[in-house]
Amino acid sequence: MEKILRIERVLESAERALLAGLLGFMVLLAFLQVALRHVGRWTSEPLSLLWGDTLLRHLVLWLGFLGAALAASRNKQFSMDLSTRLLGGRTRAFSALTCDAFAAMVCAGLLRASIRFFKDEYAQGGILFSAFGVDVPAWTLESIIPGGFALLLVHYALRSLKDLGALRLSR
Amino acid sequence: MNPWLLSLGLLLLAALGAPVFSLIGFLALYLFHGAGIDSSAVIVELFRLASLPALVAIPLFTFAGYCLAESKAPQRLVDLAQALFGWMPGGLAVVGLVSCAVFTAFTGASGVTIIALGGLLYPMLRRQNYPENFSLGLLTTTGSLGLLFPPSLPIILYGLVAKVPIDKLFAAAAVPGVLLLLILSAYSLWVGRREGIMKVPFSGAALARALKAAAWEIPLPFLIIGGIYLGWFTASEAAAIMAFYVLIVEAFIYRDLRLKDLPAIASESMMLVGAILIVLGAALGLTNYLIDAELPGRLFDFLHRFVGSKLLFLLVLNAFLLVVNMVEIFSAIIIVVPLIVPVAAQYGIHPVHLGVIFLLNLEIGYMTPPLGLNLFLSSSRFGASLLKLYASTFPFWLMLLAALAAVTYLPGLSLWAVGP
Repeated sequence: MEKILRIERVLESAERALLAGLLGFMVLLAFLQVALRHVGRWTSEPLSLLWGDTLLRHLVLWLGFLGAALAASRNKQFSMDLSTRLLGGRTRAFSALTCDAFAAMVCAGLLRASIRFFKDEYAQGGILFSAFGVDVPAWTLESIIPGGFALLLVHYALRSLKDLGALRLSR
Repeated sequence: MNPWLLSLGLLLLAALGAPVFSLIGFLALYLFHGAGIDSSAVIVELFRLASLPALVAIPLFTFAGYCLAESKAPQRLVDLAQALFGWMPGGLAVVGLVSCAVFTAFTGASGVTIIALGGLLYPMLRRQNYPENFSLGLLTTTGSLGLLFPPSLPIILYGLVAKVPIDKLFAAAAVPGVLLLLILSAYSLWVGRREGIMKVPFSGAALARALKAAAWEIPLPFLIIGGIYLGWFTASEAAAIMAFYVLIVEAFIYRDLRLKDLPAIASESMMLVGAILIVLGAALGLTNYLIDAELPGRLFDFLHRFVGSKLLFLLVLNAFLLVVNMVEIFSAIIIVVPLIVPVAAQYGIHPVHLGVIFLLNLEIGYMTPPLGLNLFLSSSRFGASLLKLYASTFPFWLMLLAALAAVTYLPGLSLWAVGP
C-alpha cells in the first residue's frame, strides 16, 4: 500500500509540474498571438506567428490528457456518483473496485488503439509546422495520445489496487 | 454480445459511478469493432479535437475563472454590487443575484459560485433578516445563474459540439438571461417589501470606495463581452486576453495570489478541463458512429409517430433535458447535443434557439430535485438538509420553469439579437 501511494504521489507531482509549465507558456503565447494579430491589422502586415495557433491547439490536448490523468487519480472524472451517495461500507468499496477496474480496462483498449494510430502517423512522418527553421513532425505532439492513455491506465490500475486493499480491510 | 445485456451492464456501471468517459470509450471501441473498423479510427476522431480552433478558449477561460475565484475578487464584486443596488427594497437579494450571475459567467459555471460567493452572501442576507428559506433558495438558484451570459463554459462547449457560431450563441442567450435576472429581482423586491427589510441608504462614499477597490476588474466584463459582441475578437482571443489580464492583475497588481499558489490553481482548473476534454474526445468517435448509423434520422421517425407538432416536441424535449441534466451537465451537452440537433432541425427549430433552450434547461437541471448539483453544494456549504433545500428552492424553480416556457415557445425572444 505504501508503495502504491508513493508511486501515485510521484506521478501526480510530475503531472502537476508539467501542467503548470505548459499552461503558463500557453497563456503567454496565446496573448502574444492576439496582440501581434491586432497590431498586424494596423500595419497591414501579418505579424502573428504562423505556427503559433497550430501549436496552441495541440497543446490543449496535452493539457487535457494531463488534467484528465490528475482527475483520474483524484476521482474527479465526471460520473453519476449515485453509489457514493447511497451505498455504504463493503458494497461501496466493491462498486469502487468494479468501476476503477472497468475504467482501467477501457483505458488499456484505448491505449492499444492509440498506439496503432501513433505508429501510422510516425510512419507517414507528416510535418506539423516549421518554427525557426526547424520542421516539427506531427508525431512529436501526437505522442500525448498514447502517453495520456498510458497515464490514465496507470492511475486506474493503482486505484484498483487501493480499492482491493480497502475491500480486504473492510472484511 | 446481447445488446440488451450490454446496455443493462453499462447502465449498472454508470449507476455505480464508472467514469462517463470510460463508458463512452467502451461503447465506441465495441461498436467500431463490431462494424469491422480498426480501433485506431476512434483515436482519429479523438484527434479531431486538435483541429477545433475554439477549443483553446476552454482551458484559458477556466484558468482565469479559477484565478478570480481564488483571489479576493468575489469580496470586491459583492461590495460593488452592494454599493450599487443595496439601497433598493430587497436590495441585498438583488446584490446576490447580480454578483452571482457575473461570477458564474466568468468562472465557467462549475459550481464555484455557491462555494465562493454563497459563503459571503448568506450571513449578510440573514443579518438583514431575510427569511432562511428565501436566502437558501436564492443562493442555490443563483449558483448557476449566469450560465446564459458570456463567456460561460457551457455555452462555448455547446457551440463547439453543435457547430453553432459561439458569438451568436452568446448574443442569443443573453436576452433570456436578462429576463431571468429581472424576474428574480422582481420577486426579491416583493419579498423585501413583504418582510419589511430595512433599507440601507445609498452612500456615494461607499460607491466610490468600492469602485476604486475594483478598478482593475471592472473593465474586464466590458472588454470581454463588449469585444466579442462588437466583433473585435473571437471567443478564443477573448479567452487569451482574459487569462493574461487576470493573471497580471491578481498576481502582480492586487497581489491576492502568490506566485507559489499558481501551480496549484493551474492543476486544479486543468482537472476540470481534462475531465471535459476526455469525455469530448471519447464521444467524438461514438457520435460519429451513431450519425453514420443514421440514429438521429431513426430517432426522428420514431418520435414523429407520437409527437406530431413542434410545440409538443419542445415540451418532450424540455422534460427529457431536465432529467438528463441532473446527471452531469458537461457530459449531457457532449453526448446529447449531436443527436438532438439534427432531430430538432427536422422539426424546424433554429439551432441557436435550441442552444438557448438547452442551456436554460441545464441551469434548471442544476437545481432540480432530487439530484441537481447545486442542491448538494448548498447542502454542504450552508449545512441545510436536502429536504429543506427542496422546499426552499421550489418557488424559484417554478419561476425558472415559467421563464423556460417563455423562452421555448417564443423563439423571437432569443433570436432577435442574432439576425437572420
